[in-house]
Parts: sequence; C-alpha cells; structure tokens
Amino acid sequence: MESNILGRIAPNSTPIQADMIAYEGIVPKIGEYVIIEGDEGPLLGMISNVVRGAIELSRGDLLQANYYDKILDLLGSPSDWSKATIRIIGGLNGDELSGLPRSPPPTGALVRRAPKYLLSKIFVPPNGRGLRIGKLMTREDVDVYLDPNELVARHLAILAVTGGGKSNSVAVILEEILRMGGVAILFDIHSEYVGMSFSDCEHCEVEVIEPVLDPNYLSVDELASLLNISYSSAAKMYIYLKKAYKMAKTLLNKEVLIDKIDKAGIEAEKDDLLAGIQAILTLSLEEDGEELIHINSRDRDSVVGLISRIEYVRSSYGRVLRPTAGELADHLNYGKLVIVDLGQLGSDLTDVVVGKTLTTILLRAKDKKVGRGYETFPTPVLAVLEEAHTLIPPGANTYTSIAAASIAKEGRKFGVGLCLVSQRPKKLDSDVLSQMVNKIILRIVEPEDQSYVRRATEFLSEEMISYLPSLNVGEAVIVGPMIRMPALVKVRYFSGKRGGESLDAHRLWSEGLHRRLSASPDEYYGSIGD
Amino acid sequence: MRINQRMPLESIEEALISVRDHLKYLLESPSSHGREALLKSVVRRWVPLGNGDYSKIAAVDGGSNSIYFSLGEVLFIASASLFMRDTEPIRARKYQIGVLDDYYHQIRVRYCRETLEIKMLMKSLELDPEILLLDGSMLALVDRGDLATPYGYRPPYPLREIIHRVTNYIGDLASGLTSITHDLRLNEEIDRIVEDSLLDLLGMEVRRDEVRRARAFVERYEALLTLEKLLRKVISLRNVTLVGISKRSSSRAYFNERIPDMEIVRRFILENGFLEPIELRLEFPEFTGIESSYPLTLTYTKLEKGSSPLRIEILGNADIDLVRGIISSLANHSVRGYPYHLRIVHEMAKVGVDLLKHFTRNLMSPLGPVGREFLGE
Ligand SMILES: Nc1ncnc2c1ncn2[C@@H]1O[C@H](COP(=O)(O)OP(=O)(O)O)[C@@H](O)[C@H]1O
Ligand SMILES: [Mg+2]
Repeated sequence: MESNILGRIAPNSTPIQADMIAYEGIVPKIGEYVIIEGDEGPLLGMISNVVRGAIELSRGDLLQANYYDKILDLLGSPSDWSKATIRIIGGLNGDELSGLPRSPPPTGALVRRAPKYLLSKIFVPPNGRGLRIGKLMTREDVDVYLDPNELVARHLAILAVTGGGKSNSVAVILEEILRMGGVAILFDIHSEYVGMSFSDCEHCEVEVIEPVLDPNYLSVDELASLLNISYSSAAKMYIYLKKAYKMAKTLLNKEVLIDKIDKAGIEAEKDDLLAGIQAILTLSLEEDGEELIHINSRDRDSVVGLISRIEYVRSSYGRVLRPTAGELADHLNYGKLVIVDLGQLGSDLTDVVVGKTLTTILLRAKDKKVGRGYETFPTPVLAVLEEAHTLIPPGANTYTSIAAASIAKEGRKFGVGLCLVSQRPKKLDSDVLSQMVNKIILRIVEPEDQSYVRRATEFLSEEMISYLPSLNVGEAVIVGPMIRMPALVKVRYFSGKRGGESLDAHRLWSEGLHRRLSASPDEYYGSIGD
Repeated sequence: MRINQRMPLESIEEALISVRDHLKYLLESPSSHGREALLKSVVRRWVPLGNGDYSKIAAVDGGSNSIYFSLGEVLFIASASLFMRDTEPIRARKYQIGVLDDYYHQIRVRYCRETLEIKMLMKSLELDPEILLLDGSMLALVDRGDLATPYGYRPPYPLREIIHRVTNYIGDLASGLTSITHDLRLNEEIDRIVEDSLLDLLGMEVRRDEVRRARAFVERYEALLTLEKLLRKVISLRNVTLVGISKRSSSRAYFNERIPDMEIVRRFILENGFLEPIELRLEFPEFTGIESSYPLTLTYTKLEKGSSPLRIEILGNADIDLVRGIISSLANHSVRGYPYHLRIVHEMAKVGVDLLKHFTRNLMSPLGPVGREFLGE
C-alpha cells in the first residue's frame, strides 16, 4: 500500500468535519495535514483528534488488567484500531486553497497525507517573501513563513507561560525582519536581549539604548504621571505643577530659565525644564522671593510636597531624564534593531518611556505619510513590547495602553506595527489584545488564560485551544492573516546570540564547586579571610 | 358500551401480574427443606482448583447464518475456526457457502456447521495440542432426543439404505474440511440418489419436502460419522484430551433435580472450582448404524469467583487429578470466567447477517434478498 495512505472516511461526515478509520497499523497524528478525495476534487484537512483502541480489548467488562494479560498472552499483540477526527480546511483547486466545500466528503473516501510540495506552497505568503518562523509540528519537512505585510498591518501577540519560548520567537521574527532590511524597536523590560546579535547578516545592526527621556518634551500630564500625581488624587499639586510648567516653558523660550534655576540654588544644566519647575516653585514659596506664580497660603504644604517629589524624581532618575537628549525614535533605521533596555527603571517611568516613544513613532509615521515632515523616518516599523501586561493592564489608562490603542487602531495606515509579548494574557487589556489579530500562542496551561485568549482571537477554534497545555517549548499555534491557515508550528531556534536565556543552576553550581575544590587551601582560606 | 371496550386489550404488565406469584414459586423452589440438603450436597462435591500445567490449548468453534435469496430458497454461510497459541498464535478458518430449499433449512445449515467444526477439530490434531476445546456438548451432538432426525427417533423407513447409496457414490464422507453432502456441485446428484432411493424403498413417488427430509438426515449422518472418527482418533492418541464446554445446558444428569444442574451450580456456588466428576457414556443412536460408544467424564465448573458456570465434558475416563489439571489450565486463560481461546474462535467464526446482506445485495443477484423489505429490515 502507498505509504501516504492513512484511511477512509467513516459515515456521518459534514462539510466541516469528518471521521476517518485508519488502515491497520497506522496511527494518525494530531496536527497532520491530509487530503480527502471529495466528490468535487480533493479537500485539505487537519487531524484534530485521534482515538485508538484494540479490538480484542474493547469489551466493557475487562475491568482488571489481569484480563488484558491473559488475552495478550494468547494473542501476542492485539488488533489496534484508530479513528481520527479531521477538520476540513477547504477545497483544493490545483495547489490553490479555496473555501469550505458545500457537501461533506463521501463515506469511504480515501485519505492521504498531504504532500510536501502542497503544504510548502500553502505556508509561503502570496508574493513568496516571508519570515521563516519554523516548521510544521507534524511535518518537519515543511517550512512555515509569515507574511510581513499582514504582521505589521494587523499586529501580533506572542503569548505563553514563562519559558514557553516567547523571547525566542521574538528573536526569530526580529532577525527575519532585519534581514529584509526592516525596522524594529524592542522594549526590553528585563534586560534579556542586551547581548543580542545576528549571525551572517552584514547589514543587520543592533543598538542597545538605555532609555533617555527628555523632560523638555514631556507634556504636563506625562510629567504628572512621572511624579505620581493626578488631578483626581492630588488636585492641588497637579494645579501648581501645571502653572509652574507653563511658566517654565515661557521662561525657557525667552532663554531666562537658567537664571531662575541659579537663583534658586539648584544644580542643573541650562535648559532643564524639570529643574526650572522646581526653581519656580521654590522661589514662589519664599517669603521675600519674587512670586512667579501665586501660591495660596493654605496650599503651601502641597507645594512643598510637590517640590520634594520633583527632587526625588530628579535624583533617582537623573540618568534617564536627560534634558535635550533627543528622542528614542531618532535612532530607528533600516536594517536596524533598537533595543530599549528598561531593566533599571521602575514601572511608572517605564510606562512613560514606552508610551511616549510609541506615541512619537506613530506621530512621525503619520507626519511622513501626510507630508508634514519626517520624510526620512523609517517605516514600516515594528515595535515589540515584552511583559506587555505590566504596561497594558485591563481597563487602565496608562500611557502605554493609550499609545498601544492608537497604534492598534491607526498603525496599519501609517506602517507602524505592534507586537505584544506576555505570559499573563488575562492581565492584558482585552480590547488591545483582540486588536493584535495575529497570534503566536505557545504553551499556556491556565484554563482562564486559555479562554481569555480564545475570546480575543477570531481564528482560534476550541480544539486548537485544547492543544495549548501540551505544547513543548517552542511549539506554537499560529493564527491570523499573517499565516494562510491556523497551524501548529515548531518555532525554529534563534541562531544568533540573544543573552538572557534561562539560568542553568546546575551548570553554574558545579562550575563554582569545581573552582572551590580545585583552589589550594591557602587561596581558599585566604579568600574567606578577605 | 363502545365496541372497543368489549374487546380485550391487555397490556403486558397486566399479563405478567396475573402470573407473577406462580413464577416466583417456580424460581424459588426447591422448597426450603430440599434446598438445604441440595446446598449441602453441592458444597460437599465442590473441588477447589489447583495448578494448571497445560498451555498448548487449541479451540474450535463454528458459525452460520442464512438469508432468503429467492422465494423458497436461502443462501447460507457456515464457518469453522481454529485458534491455538504455540510459540506464535495460530489461526485457521474455513467457510462453506450454499443454497438450500427453505424446507428444514435451519436444521440443515446447522448440520453443515457441525460437520465443518468436527472436521476442523480433526485437522487441529496436526498441531499436537494438549487440550482440544470444542464449543458445546459432545453428548448433545449425538443425542438430540426428539430432534435426532427430522423424523424424531423412529424414522419410518430404513435410512441406512439411503446412506449406503450416497456413500457408495461419494466415497469417504469424513474427509476434507467442508461438508461433502452440502457441496453445491454435488447438489443435484445427491438429490437424485435420495429421490431414487425413496422411490425404491417406498415404491411410489414422494413429495419434494419428503426428499428434503431424507436429504437432511444424510447431511446429519456426515456430521456423526466424522465425529465418530474424531473420537476414535483422539482416544487412540492419548496425549490429547478433547473437552467440550457449554455455556448453557438444561441437562439434569448430575443432580437429577427439577432444576437443571447448571442452574444449581449458578445459585449455590460462588467460589471457583468444579464438581466431582461423574462418568457417562456416549452412544451413537441405533438408527445411524454406528455401533461404537465412548466413555465421557462430566463436571460443572466456575473458572472465576462469581462467574457463570460452565458444563465440561471430557472424552474418556478422567480421574479427578486430570480433571483438576485441565480445568485449572482453562482457568489460567479465562477472561470473565470463559476460556479466552473459545472467545477468539467464536469471534473468528461469526457470520453476521450484515455480511449476508452485503453478499446478496452487492455480489450476487441483482434482485437482492426477498421478503424482508416489507418488514423494513
Ligand atoms: N524554538 C525553540 N527551540 C528550542 N529551544 C527553545 C525554543 N524556544 C525557546 N527555547 C529555549 O527555552 C528556554 C525559554 O525560552 P524563552 O524564549 O526565553 O521563553 P519565554 O520568553 O517564553 O520565557 C530558552 O532557554 C530557550 O533556549
Ligand atoms: Mg521571555
């Protein structure tokens, strides 16, 4: 018998699903692609479930394994049977995939494994240029490519438990994008990509940037968020901040802000807006000082509080808040990946940095598109955000979630794509998540996370969801317009250097122990004595 | 009163309720006094199992089914199958397919199946089994009481004469693996011989069904003749024991009570074990002209605790140790109280009605099976 023949269709098939009885000795695999001989030409399907039994052991009354022993003792091996459920994907017109058939495949129809050439053709984007993400899980001979146009236009979420292979998938996608000359920025919350480099790609460039936020470019609301102040929680502080902010901007434009800073005895660079605000508030507070802004005597305590917050932020975030440092978006270029190392920042600041940068990217792309400047701003650009749930929690109005929502909505028009990465899908805002129409879903164990993802994903069937807990590292369900049809994919292992892989405790300990034992006693005790 | 209400329209519940008490009485007897004594006697004769050392066990079973093929004719398929576990599982199966007039066809198909089974048992001796299992009772094969012949026990004319003429024409009936008297190719010739014999014997033309009746007897004779040959052979071999196993039996030969022996074991015994064996004699009915008789050993067993009882016949005089060895070996291979060998051959020999329908519909006549379609079958 031809080795690719698997079985025949059993009764009760429908246009979307059919059972297959396998030939003796054949055990079909879940995820296997098959061709069914339909009435009007071949149909492509995928095996979604397999049930197996043994004819001699099928009796319901064999309730102790001892009976199995006796039977197997006589028979040697029992007569295995398998029955597979096939989900029908569509009709095949030559090599072209068309819609679902309108009649079910006939009972008794022959079912074969889909040939490699056919699958290979299906898993390449229409124009032939794609991102090589990996191989079909059940068909290691078939490469799977993602369509970069659809990826940027319809965005992407990469979801999995920790250690499921999210960061590796990100690295593979970025590598493929850069090889094509693409533009990407990666917000690296835990500094896990800082050692990243791509092998065999001359034009590929990686720049790691410690985030720099120019306070002079921040809006008053962004500043307030940085200072952990909002109108609802601390109305007075917010009002005085807003007054001082306006004043400082005015003075800055007249180039006299530095005078006030000096006068208030604050150490700062010439055009430091935040220092200027601090100076204006300090001077206005002094009994005999010039009252740059009027402070109600009842509000003095609030203003003192505001000043100390500004001091705190300036001293602790001094490294990040560099006036006139320019914008992160300035660093973007073709064939280049910008990694924003956010490992050292607290979450408030991270939110501002990410939100601000995303907004800037979108605005510039918009301006470029409508001819309002920024002609050389590189687009399309993909922005990747790790640990997205920390910055885009459900229902919250963080800077990042506002920015992400606008990119999700408008990014497509201007060539800005967003890729959100998270191990807690249900802690991610559902609106934003459902607008990440493409998804790479690796292992997910928690049922709540699974159903949350299911609700936020239009192409994801219940049955695909059922695979999620059993996936191995790097195995993924990929859905969305960037792939021709939902598929189980083994994501390839990133060939370059990434940095930040899981720590290998056993190796580190045994190496350390070896060092300790091989050191001479003198050295050892000497080092303890230090 | 409406007409309807003057007519009886009984429900099955009403009918059952009216006889319930009497049914209960029948199920409860023997009376509590007799019951006590019987229980004691059963328990006293119940022997525990031991080790079973036989592993080369071969089993044979048959199957058959028939379907109306045209009005007045049936198509039948009979089969016999064999299983033995040696170093490898060994399987064999033989089918016989034929067409019969519908007179007496059920009993005639049965004779064919029995002949196939007995010939398969004969064949299985080539595998040198230690135990040879037959599904059913040897005694019942030979002694059918009123069903001994289509005429009951006393055939109205010397059947031996007909047999004689048929065997003269055919030769050795007990050879091969299929039933010679059912062979489609010999059909018309045998009919003719039987008809001529009847004509000579009775001096007049006989009705067609009468010819069928005599023919049926000839067919039964083939089974009995083959059985005799098998028994003789097994007795002479000494290293193989022929064992007949029945799941159902209404025989009362052991306890001689109103309820069957098997039912007594079923009701009174829970543990595995077997009844002290008794001796019987298997004699071929006189009208067959086969004069041999053979000793048989009879017992009842439960191969597992709580399982259904089985009737066991062993060819020859088997002492209690031999019986224990055989039954314990069967218990080693029993699944839910039934030797699995027999289960395997049963499955192999099954002839489903679906198969027959498929056969008639798709492979045979364009007309298909007849009559049943009115019943929606
Ligand atoms: N496709 C893959 N093939 C082989 N190993 C992989 C693959 N993806 C991830 N890994 C390994 O699994 C570990 C966790 O992967 P990572 O991508 O860091 O997971 P996550 O980001 O989901 O926590 C890493 O050590 C990585 O080397
Ligand atoms: Mg990671």
